[in-house]
Amino acid sequence: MIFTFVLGDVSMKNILTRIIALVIMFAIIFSTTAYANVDRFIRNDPVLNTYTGRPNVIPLINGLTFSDLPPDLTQRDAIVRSGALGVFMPEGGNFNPNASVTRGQAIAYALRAAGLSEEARDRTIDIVPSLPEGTALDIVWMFAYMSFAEEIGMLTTEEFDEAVAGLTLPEDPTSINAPTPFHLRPATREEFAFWLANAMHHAHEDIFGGPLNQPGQSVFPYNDWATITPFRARAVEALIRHNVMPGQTATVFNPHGIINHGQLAQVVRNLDTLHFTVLGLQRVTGTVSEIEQEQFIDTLTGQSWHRVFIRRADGRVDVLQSTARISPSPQHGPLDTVVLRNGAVSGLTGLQVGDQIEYIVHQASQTIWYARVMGDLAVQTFVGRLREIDINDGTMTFTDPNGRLFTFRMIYGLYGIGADGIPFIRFVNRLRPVDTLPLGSFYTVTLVNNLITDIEFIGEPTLYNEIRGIVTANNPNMGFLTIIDEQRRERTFNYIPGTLRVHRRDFYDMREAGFNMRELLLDISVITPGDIVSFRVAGDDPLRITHISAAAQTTSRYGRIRELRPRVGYHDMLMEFENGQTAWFTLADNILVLERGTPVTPDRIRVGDWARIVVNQAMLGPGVMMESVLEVALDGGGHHISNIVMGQLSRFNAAQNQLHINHAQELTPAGWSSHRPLAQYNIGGANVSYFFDGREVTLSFLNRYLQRGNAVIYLALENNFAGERVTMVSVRSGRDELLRAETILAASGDTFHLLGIPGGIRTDEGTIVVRDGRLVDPGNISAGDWARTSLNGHNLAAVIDISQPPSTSGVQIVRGRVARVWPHQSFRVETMSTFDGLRWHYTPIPREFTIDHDTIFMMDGGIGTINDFIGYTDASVVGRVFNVIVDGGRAVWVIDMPFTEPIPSLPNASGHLTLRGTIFEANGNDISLRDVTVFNPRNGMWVPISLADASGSVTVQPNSIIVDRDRVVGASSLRVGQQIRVLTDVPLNTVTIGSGLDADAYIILVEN
Amino acid sequence: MMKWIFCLVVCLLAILATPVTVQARIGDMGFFGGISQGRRLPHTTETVIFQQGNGGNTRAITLNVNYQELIFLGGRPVRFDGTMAITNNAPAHIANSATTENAPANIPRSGVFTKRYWVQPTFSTSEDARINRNMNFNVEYRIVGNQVIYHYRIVQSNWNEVIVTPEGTFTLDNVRSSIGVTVIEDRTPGVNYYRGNVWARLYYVGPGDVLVIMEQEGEFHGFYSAWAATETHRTDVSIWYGDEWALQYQIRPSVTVNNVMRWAQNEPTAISFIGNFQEVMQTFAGLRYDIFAPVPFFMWDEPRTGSSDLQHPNTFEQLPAPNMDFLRGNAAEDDIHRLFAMEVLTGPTSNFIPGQAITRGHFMTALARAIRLPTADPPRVQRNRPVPSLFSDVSVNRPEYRYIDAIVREGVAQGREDGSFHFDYGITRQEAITTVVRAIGLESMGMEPTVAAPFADSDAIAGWAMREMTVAYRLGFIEPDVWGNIRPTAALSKGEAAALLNRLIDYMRTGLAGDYADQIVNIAR
Repeated sequence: MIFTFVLGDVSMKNILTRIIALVIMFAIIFSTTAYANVDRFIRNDPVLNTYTGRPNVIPLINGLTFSDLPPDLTQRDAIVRSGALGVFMPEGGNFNPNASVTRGQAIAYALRAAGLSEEARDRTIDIVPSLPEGTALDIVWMFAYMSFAEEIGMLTTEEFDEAVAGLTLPEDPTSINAPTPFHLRPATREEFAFWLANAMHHAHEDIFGGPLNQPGQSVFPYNDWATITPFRARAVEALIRHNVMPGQTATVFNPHGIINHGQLAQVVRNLDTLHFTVLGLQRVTGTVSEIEQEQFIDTLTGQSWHRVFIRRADGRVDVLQSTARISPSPQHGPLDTVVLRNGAVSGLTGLQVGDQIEYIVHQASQTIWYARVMGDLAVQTFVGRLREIDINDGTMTFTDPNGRLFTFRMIYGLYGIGADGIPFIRFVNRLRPVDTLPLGSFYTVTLVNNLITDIEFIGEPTLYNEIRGIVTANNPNMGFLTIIDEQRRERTFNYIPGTLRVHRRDFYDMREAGFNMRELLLDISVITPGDIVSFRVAGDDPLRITHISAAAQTTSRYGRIRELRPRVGYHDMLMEFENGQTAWFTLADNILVLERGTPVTPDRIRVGDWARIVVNQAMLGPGVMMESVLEVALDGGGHHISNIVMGQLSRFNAAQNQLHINHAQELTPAGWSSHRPLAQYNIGGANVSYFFDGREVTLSFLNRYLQRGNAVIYLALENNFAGERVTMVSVRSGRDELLRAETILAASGDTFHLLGIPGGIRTDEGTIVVRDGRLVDPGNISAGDWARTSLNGHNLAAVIDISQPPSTSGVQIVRGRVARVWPHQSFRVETMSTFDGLRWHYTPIPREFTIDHDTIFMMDGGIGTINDFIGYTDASVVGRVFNVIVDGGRAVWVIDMPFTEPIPSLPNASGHLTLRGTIFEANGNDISLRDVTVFNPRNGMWVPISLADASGSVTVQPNSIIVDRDRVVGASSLRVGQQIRVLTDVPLNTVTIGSGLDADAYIILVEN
Repeated sequence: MMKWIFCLVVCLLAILATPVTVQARIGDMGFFGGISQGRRLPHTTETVIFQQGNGGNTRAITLNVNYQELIFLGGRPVRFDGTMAITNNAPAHIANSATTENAPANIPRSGVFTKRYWVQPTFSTSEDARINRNMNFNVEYRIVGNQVIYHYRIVQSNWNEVIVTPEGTFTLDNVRSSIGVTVIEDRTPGVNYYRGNVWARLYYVGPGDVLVIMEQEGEFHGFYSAWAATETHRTDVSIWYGDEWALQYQIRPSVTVNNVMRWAQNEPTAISFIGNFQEVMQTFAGLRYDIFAPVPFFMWDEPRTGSSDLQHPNTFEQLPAPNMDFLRGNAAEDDIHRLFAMEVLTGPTSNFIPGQAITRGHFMTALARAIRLPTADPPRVQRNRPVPSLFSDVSVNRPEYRYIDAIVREGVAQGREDGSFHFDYGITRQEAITTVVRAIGLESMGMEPTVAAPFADSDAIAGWAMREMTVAYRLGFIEPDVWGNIRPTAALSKGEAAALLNRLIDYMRTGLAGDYADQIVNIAR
């Protein structure tokens, strides 16, 4: 036994030894005890009561271990319980259940059962003086019991006198005629009934529901009722009525028969609630759900607890605990209780998880008096339809298939009312509002000893099962489909090719209204690896698919295209995503590519483009992912490089995330220009990279070492919708040297060659390479590119801006007189001249051009529409001369413009003023030029207008044509630094050539 | 009388003094194709003040923001710069960001509140581009689980709009015009996501009494969290200018507000801390448009695409400077430092040893703090009155109880079969990664079922974690080792936990917005 040591007069050494023993003892318990998990909420729920054992129980446990009681004796519980509740004073050894009970014992048991023994013994003080000196204590106590019994009416005066005589006159053992003293004579059944009833009634007046002498009918079923002594009849009646003391048989009460110890214990047991009421006890039933050991060790003191967590029948939680304490002073014995388990008597340690027990507790003192194991753990599950939840009672009611109702109580932890006032049910470890549980559906219910400990939603009866999984292979010719199902098993099913139709939802499906009514059923060949499928199989063949539906499993990703490699019929594309991950994709040539919402061909995709791709992503196995691109939507320029800036780093503004740059200049066709003494650039974007002399550094490094220095800083600015933002910063310690824009002769690895530059030009990680406005890796430089390069250091490129070479030959300008108009369709010109940039070439052949709603008509009254280009009424255009920009046979622009001719077609004509210059200021339609030269048609030379100040200006007219890189552009597209050729309508012989030359421009050709 | 006036003044002052806390950010740019500076995110100090109950009650306030709109009524885009006042009378449980599924039973699940948009010029607004717009909506809402549905109903009689362009003045005919806005908001533990649809047909009387009809149909998406908020619209607009011309364009305005961190090193050496992090709140507001059917008269020489932006200065706040001396040079130093600075981790820094295992309880507590998950006070312990506990091993007396309670109620994590949380046990990598994905409600980005993950040891991943692990990889939260393994069942160290939580916060600050801003604004469709 664990708590059997008793502290006596112990030394410190002994105490220490016992503490160590305590520790070792629990270590053993911890290591050897394994408990089943019968109630997972037992530790979550609040503990309603903690009942502690009582002192001096260890001797009681030992005393109740009777050797003459068979384990299966039905009266064993009554005997042990009576002992535990203090009716008997067991001393171990034999119980002698068949031995008769003496009157003295019977009176004592009756008083103890009624909780009057202490009160009775209090009479001892008054009695002792009247007793002979040396009277034994048991006789004194018996005297007191008799005296008290007489006082409360259990004994008549005569009986008491007889009892006193028997107690005070020592029995002469030699006299065979000497009467047996009163207290040693066997008690009869009616006597014990009378004494017990009177004692109980004295302890609690209303214990039998009124006066003890109230009449009744309960004795009459017994044939010998008339033999009951009359003055005891009402007491017997009361006990029979309350099922405390039934007859010996169904028809015989045997009032004068002798009562033995076993019968008496059973009578006490039968008192049950009457007994508890008198003693202030309660009986509770529950299940042992968890056992906990705890110990506290301090200097020279220690305490241990053995706690038994009980799930009560009402769903709540009680704790029964025994303790052992060690301390030098005051000294305590262990607190424990009597436990009867399978016929064996023990302390609380005798209980095991899963035991169904009843236990008797004293509520006022929070002590446990007795516990009995009534059965083992009973776990049941059933399926029922939930009909009702009663949170107030803590019950759930289910119906079975026959409509019968079953109501069970829930364990406390399964339900409750939250702090917010919402009733909840604990469902899959989550607290869910009660009203979210579907009533009327089936649930699997787990009962532990008839308490609901768990519920699991089932739903409704399954009419057919569907198999769901991810397709790894589909062979429509052979008729098999392989999937990985939800349990991650690879399974192959078959179908009859050509007979199975499938509804497959694609990623672009809008699920328009009524879609299901007009389902588009397709051949099963549309199912591809990566699709998610759901299908049914035949009843007679669990591997044959009879119905199937599918959906594409797509995801979209957004990133920068870092490489694009053309293959036969497809492209390999390397994408870098915003989180730095990269991935190769294969683009089929028939893939859907969208630009500004319009389908375009894949060749519109360029390296450096940002794009959003829709990917069918199939995870076919561990680390095996198959991705196929279904759609590419090109970014409209949000990540294009809008500017490249050079300057010197002034400082970093941490609060505003800005770089302050001194002497900032932008890269323009004329080189570094638009100087600003101090400019601010935002670095608040997501992925800004920083480089110093070709190696990647941090912003902190830049801020610490490079600000306010002489190093040159280059910035690549991105055309962010929320304002221009820096995307790449490269600082170099060399001197900047901008090269003239040239065509790249050769490129290999990190080196390329330019005409006129000896040796190769190197690139490094910090080189800003921009191709057609897109930031690209240096590896994307190729021969034939037209690039503007800025060096920093010996043949080391800091900036390379690759763009389309200047050209105007791609725009064909013709001029002709309209002969006929077919409204909204086309028009014909009688004759036509083609412009080559300086001269018109006449063709005496009529020609017809189509027009459409995209044709732009620049009429003399302003921009017109296709409705204005007609050949009738006074608005007719027939006979009028127009410049036409053509694209094959289609008129793109139709312009009513004055004639301008640099080289005259007629011998005596002077031609019109044609000049060339570099833009140094562009303000709307007013363009200021420097280095202006004028074309001399006589010798084909360009002559400066002044050697001192060769500046002039031109004004762009509403009906001007500006051609830049084979495109017609507006005046707002002209940039400082561009060199332009301007054709005017001013006859050359009417203008004075000199500084400040000013003219209206009609055709402008951008030359760099 | 004077007493009443005094009381009134005091009340008004009290109302005006009520600080701005978290409010729904839906519609902060209006629904008219314009952009605003957005709403300021609460600074950390503000958050702490309100968490500690020192901030008073939230109430409806008027938000005044700088506002910009491109006017196309004249046929070409003209920029208007002014202000917009948004008065939102949403009830507190709608205005705040908390999830609604577990909201108290006594709060209304449906109702109506008013919302007003008032656009005005400022003294610096150009005379050639002016908007005076007053729109009042009755916003009907209902709560379904963690989702809130809003339906905006215009108050027709109180709708006024006058727009001035270089081409003339346009006055709205509020009788014939109509507009409808409907929004669905999905509230997850760390981030609230929403989408809305707008449809409007507006009738204007233009110069020379020309009838101008503008029809717009669009959608918008947004999210808001403790670290960032974004709303982006994609609206297709058609304008019929009498019989003279028609214009069709798509406009995509967007605003993002986020908090980022900057390190500031101290200049003096004789100072008790070497430096600290600062929280910088940034605004990105801009729009892009594509004109698909231009007006030739106006547009022949102008680009058919364009953009416009609204600049707003950053604001910033100092963050605490924890003592990290003991971690100097450690690979996890920066991650741990940041989390302590953000007060995601609290207590003595020296207890957070990177190489030690982090327990489930401590990780969940940090996760709840990282996403600024609203928590409730634990049940009060009263004598003789038992207190229910969510888990057998998480006492209500533990300071972490409120976070575990919130984490579990929001479905981010669950307990074990034995009724415990395994609070004091080490958390596995797959457990941690799964909860991080659930915390921002993005588990649906993965496939269901996810039969394998892109890792060599995918088979070791538990079935319940497979989808979230795949999503975490996709979001960049995790990377396999050089052998392709992710070691799902290995214990997570404190250093790894710090890195994971920082990646989550960084994603919430900047990564998530990319999906909402750039991808929509930059791509016309």
